[in-house]
Amino acid sequence: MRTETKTTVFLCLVCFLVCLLACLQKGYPDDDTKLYSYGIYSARHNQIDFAFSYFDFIVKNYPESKVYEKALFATGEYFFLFWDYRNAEYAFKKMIEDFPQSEFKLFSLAYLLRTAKMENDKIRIKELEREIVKTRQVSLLFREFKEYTLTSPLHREYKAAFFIDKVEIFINGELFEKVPF
Amino acid sequence: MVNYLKKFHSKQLTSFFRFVILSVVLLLFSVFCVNFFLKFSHDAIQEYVSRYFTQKVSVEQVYFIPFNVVVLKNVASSIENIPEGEWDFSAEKVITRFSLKHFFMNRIFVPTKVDLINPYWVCERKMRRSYARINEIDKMFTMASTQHPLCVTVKNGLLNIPRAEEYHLLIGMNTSFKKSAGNSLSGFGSLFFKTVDGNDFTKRDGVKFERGPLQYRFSARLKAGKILLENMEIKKEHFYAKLWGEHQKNELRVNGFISSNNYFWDYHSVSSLSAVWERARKFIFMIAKSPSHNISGSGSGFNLFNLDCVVEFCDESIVLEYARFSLNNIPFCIQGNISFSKHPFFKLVCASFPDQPKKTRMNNLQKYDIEIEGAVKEGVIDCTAHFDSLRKKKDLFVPHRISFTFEKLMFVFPNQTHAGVSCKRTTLLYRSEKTVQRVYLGDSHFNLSLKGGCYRNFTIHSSLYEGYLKGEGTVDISGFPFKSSFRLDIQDVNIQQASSFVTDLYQVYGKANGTLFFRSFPQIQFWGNVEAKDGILDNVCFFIWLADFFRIPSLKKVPFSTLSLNFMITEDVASLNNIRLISTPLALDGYFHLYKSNLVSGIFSLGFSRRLLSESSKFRTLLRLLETKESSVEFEFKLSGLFETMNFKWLASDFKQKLEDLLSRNMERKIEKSIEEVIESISVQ
Repeated sequence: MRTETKTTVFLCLVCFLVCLLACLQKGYPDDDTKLYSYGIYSARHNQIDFAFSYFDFIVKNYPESKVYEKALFATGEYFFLFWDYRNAEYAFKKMIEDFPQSEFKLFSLAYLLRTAKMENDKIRIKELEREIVKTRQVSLLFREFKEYTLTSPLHREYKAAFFIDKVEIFINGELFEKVPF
Repeated sequence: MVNYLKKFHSKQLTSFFRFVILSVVLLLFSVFCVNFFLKFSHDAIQEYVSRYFTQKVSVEQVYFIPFNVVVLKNVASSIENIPEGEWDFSAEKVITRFSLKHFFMNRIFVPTKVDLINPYWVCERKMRRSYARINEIDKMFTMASTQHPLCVTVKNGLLNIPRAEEYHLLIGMNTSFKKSAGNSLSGFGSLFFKTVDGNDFTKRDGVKFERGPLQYRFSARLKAGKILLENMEIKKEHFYAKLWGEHQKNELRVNGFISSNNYFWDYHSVSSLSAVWERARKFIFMIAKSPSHNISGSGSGFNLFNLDCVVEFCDESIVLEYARFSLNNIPFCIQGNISFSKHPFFKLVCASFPDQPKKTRMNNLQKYDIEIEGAVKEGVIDCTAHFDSLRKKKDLFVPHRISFTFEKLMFVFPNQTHAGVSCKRTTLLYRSEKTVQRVYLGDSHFNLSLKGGCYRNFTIHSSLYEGYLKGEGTVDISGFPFKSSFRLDIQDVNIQQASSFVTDLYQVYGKANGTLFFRSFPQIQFWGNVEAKDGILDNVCFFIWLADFFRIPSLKKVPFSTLSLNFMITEDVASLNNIRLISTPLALDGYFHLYKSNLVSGIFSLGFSRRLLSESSKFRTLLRLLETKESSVEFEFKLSGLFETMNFKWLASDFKQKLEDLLSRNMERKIEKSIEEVIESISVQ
């Protein structure tokens, strides 16, 4: 066999092997924090669906992860945004049960309050309003209200304003829920 | 001819008159002889009667009235071993009619009718003997089955039940019992109840029986050692009871029904002793007969149906094996016993839906359990009563209990239209899931009107925590549980002692006056106003916090000239309104509401005197900096949120404005943060 022919065959084999290896590679990286950062990145670039897929993967496969809590909240947000209220309710309830001290608890309660109002469940509405009031104790000496803000994994701005007689919850600057007491 | 007839008639008439006069003389002579004999045999007669009734009998005089009447005058008797002179029974007259036939033919004295005129019984202080009396009556009924027909009437009888030293319960009676030849018994009569006052009440003179008595009638048969009660009816205004049953050896079985303010209103007026005169009066004066209302429309009242009761009479006790009945469609069962031993006591247990499975019963809002236990001593009762029921709280059935403890309780009947209870000491206890509240009452009197259909008025007077309580109200007995509303006026009540009812009052010294209102239907509401004068607030929680926060130690003990508030407690909210505290160093006013959801809402205005503020090193500097010249400084603040973690806001005021102008933003944040920490630490406590 000529040398040229041998070289060509060898190169074809190498290319074939490289392609085979490339195909066998997994679609997602193994590291949960990496996945989380991909999700954040996607959310910042307005690719919410991709972001959701990363967060959802974390929730399903990494329950012990330190970013599980945030990923869970993000999945709940996503479900709510796309009117899947049943799954949203499930995610937020799990959020409150598994992480009672979470900074996201207040806003999870707000989402659950909204779904309860949609169902007109008066008893649940009263319970949720009470839980929202219970989350913070405020002392207002020189201010009219006290503010709590955070940014969610899906890059949405959350703000809660505690007045002496009401709580107002805003999402991206818009009033989402108002709880008088 | 005329002269002949005149002569003939005059002879006849003379003979007739002679015969009549002779007969009268003979009769008078025989009556005189009989009465002489009776007088001579007075002691023997007394002894014979004593032996026959197995107790001491004293008769002042015995005389005979033709043709078959023997009168015993001033009769008295008592059970043996009682000191002479202390008779427990006496009668002005005992008029006995006897059978002439048996007297002349069989030479035996058989009474056919006995009238007791103005008899008077004194109930034994020792209840054992009273119970022995009941057993004797039972024996007499059994003996009567072998005796001849007999009719016993009691006219103006009086039973005196002495209570301690103050009250005597009097039961007046006019009654008639009849036993016919065929062993049937019947009777009718009326009873009156009255309580009189008097330490030395021994005479029944002056006791007037008022109208409207309790009437009864019954018919029974004696058969082979048992008494069959065929019918017994008891009636009083809007109350009617019909019973039947049997009594054998020591056991009494009763069935029947009882109705109040409902069926059988004005049913068959029971004949009284003056029935003949009453009928004659109506006939003579042409009084129209009122239409009878045998059964009236179904009203709202008490209906006790399907009564099935078994009572056993033991040597020294009466045992209620069971009494099952349906009261306004709720089934009940009562069991218990009354002991007449040396230390008489009683116990009664009553339960609704007794046959319901336990699990179902625990979720039945009409589950009632009542237990009464007590002892009797010298006519007064010491007892405890518990009432258990369920209340619905969301989806849960929460048990709660009301308990009463009475010391020296007695029932009083001031007149026919009122019944009452008098007690030396009463303890009321309310226990629920998380609450225990007690009220202690001193010498108290409770009166209930027996007139008025379903709505009965009542009054209460009592001593309460060194003060006085007076109240009146209404109870609606048309359904069970009863609905009530009342008003109470309190005077000079020691506030600290009232802490058994409201725990937080423990630190408040002073005397309170006020008016309280209560209503149980449609929902429980308790409201009113209270005012205390010249007292002290000593280490009250709120003022301890103020003292620590402002560094003013004298705030821990605040003397006040006036402390007043209005309050309202319902199932949804507890409110304190128009709170006003006037004290030399400070003034406080505002309101505070606590809702069922545990959320609170309130505004308080605190005014501190300059002198008080200058005690605090914090404020001394501040006052100097602000150059404030006012004699007092006011702080107004609002509270909200949950009771355990209240939110706090300092409302706008001149002082606050001056402070804000003085402080930088950083300083403000710093102060806010330190106050937050203080408030949170208090909330954790």
